[in-house]
Amino acid sequence: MRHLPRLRGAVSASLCCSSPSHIRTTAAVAAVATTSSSTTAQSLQRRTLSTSVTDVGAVEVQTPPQGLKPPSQKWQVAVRPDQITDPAYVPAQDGLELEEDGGLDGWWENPANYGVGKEWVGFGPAEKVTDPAILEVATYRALVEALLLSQNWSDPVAREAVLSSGWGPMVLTTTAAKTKFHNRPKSTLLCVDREEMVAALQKHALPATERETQLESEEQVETAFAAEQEVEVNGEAETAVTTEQQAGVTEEAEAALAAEKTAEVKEEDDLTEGVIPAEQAQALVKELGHEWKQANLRNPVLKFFAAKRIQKLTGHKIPDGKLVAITTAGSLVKELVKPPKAKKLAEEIENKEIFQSLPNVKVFPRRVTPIDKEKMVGRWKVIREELERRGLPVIGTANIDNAIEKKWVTGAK
Amino acid sequence: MAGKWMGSLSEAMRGLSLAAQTCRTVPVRTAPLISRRSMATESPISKPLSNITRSVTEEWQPITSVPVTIHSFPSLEPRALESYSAKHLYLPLRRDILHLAVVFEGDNTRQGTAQAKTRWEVAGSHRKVRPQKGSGNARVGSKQSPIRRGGGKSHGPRNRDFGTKLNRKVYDLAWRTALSYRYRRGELIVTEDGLDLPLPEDFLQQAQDGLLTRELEDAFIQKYVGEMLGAMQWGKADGRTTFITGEERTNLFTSLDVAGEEGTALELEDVDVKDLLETGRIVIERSALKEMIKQHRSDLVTSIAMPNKVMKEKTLASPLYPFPHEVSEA
Repeated sequence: MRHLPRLRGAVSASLCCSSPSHIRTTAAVAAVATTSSSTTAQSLQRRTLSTSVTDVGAVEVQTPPQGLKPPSQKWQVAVRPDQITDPAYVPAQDGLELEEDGGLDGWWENPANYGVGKEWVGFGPAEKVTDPAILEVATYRALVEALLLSQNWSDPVAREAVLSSGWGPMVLTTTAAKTKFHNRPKSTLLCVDREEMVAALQKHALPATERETQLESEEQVETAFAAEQEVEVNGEAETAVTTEQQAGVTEEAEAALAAEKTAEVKEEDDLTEGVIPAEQAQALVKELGHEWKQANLRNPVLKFFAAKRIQKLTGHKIPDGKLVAITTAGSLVKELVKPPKAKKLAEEIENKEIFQSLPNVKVFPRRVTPIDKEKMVGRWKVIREELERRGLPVIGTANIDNAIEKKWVTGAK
Repeated sequence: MAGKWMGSLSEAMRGLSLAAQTCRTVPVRTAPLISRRSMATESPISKPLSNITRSVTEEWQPITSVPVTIHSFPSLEPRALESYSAKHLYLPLRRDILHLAVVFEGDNTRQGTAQAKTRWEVAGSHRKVRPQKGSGNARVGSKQSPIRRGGGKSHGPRNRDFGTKLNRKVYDLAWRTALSYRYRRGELIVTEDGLDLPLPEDFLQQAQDGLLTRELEDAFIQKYVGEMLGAMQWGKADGRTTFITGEERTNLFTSLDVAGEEGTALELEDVDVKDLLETGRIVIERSALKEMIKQHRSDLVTSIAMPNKVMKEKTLASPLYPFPHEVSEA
């Protein structure tokens, strides 16, 4: 009943991950499993039908590149019943008596056959970050970086590199990114000294060997805050601060950065695993305060950058439909911190502790069966023992049908 | 109104009485609001809403466009951003229209080929079975009579068309309503063109070399697809996934044919409104989404050519990122 053609061959497949970016290409040479199921002597004692897989003199199959191990191609045909000389051989009278030997059921469940490195690797950490403090820090950092990238960063390659980079050293969130909220009706996210921010981004993007020396100078960066310039987030209105002033500053560095960055992207992948510790995040949250959460977020590209950074840093994918409704930095944090909706009503009730105060209400995650009721009063153990002693089925009716008289009385067919 | 009056009056009285008894030690527990209600129907007083009215000076700015992120597959990296009209992807949910569309599709999908033979179609002689009188049995005309075994069916099913009609504009609105519903819930994932399932190279090589039997191939795909979609939270446990592509992609379609419990794959021309509403999420490639909207916007664009008016084709999706000026430079 297969209407579709079989899978495309490896050679002709244009999309069969010739460069499997989503697959971890760790050196994956799986150990060749020894699948010697039974010797011929054993198999003769109790003869099984037809083609049991034996590896008598089997040719060793070449180990494929990623450790996927096909079954042996060596098959041995069973001896005909009339040619068996073993006196212990008793032919089976029934299909149920036949023994199963070998077979390929569950072949891929064996890790030695399936190989390693076939798990899906997405954009961002495999496990979502759930700690609220870390999420808040990540949001802040994502917004700051997004703001810079959307306005100052003219080199697409470098921009993409920053967007895809991991946590790295905590340059941006510790000292360099000092912000201030301006309480005005229609604006504004941040007052940032852009040059400092760009410098911080570049420092963040430097290779690991140079980072340590750079980190020492953080304190100087912090003291260097002077000029605060307003950044309008509302997209439609570009502020008076043009990028021309920074263009000279940034582009030189960007050109150098682009080359470094592309080389570094692979290295960054390892760093994505390293999320900052929760204590550090909590300290940062205190340092950042809450004013920045009132900032307006209207520009879709800015939100796109922020969402991409957040996905890379925390593993949370914020769908577009939700992003439309998010208009402030605070609502973005709220959306991230909000626990996922419970799949079952019982879970929801348990999470919210709704009926805790009512002593006569209990909530069960599934139907309370008669067996459950017996268990609650401690009678089930006795019942089970008695049923077993009488040879009756413990659960269900086994092969025992309803009384035939019932059919006669009701007239059911 | 009466209830409110009474409530406030009694509250005032209570306040007075408390004030009068200054030496009272045991505090009176005020009954909860719900028990202080009068018999008259009265809505419970909830906490005051924040100002829901809008300032007259503030201009009403409805959302006119919504962003759509284009992801790579299968890493799901956001790659690009496009802007769609809110009339395409941000329509309000109209369950009635969705219901009309699904019923319309269901009606038109019915085969309507059931047919039972009437007494005039059952083969055989129409001779009178036995004489009208004298046999002691009931009178019988012919053996094809519906009351006799082997006779015709009196009101049986006949071939017919169950199809119903629905105005084109309503049906198209239903399509975009379904898409909008998915979009709002975050269940519409748009991927780059060429959506296909990358299968491991070594597996494809071995399958081509004939080292694997059909059962082994299927078992591998089931495991591989199951693990991949499970890790994405797109699999069976999360309500399955519908993949929609412009044309058939062999690996994707065959894999999901084998691992059908994890999801399904459809070509654009096979998609119905019902398909858009069924599984946990819709994964659609960019061009397929554009084409889908293009085919279903009869209520937005006119097909009537005006003699003195040049029909201007409006772009469906305007790119926001990568920045258009950068793309044009490149």
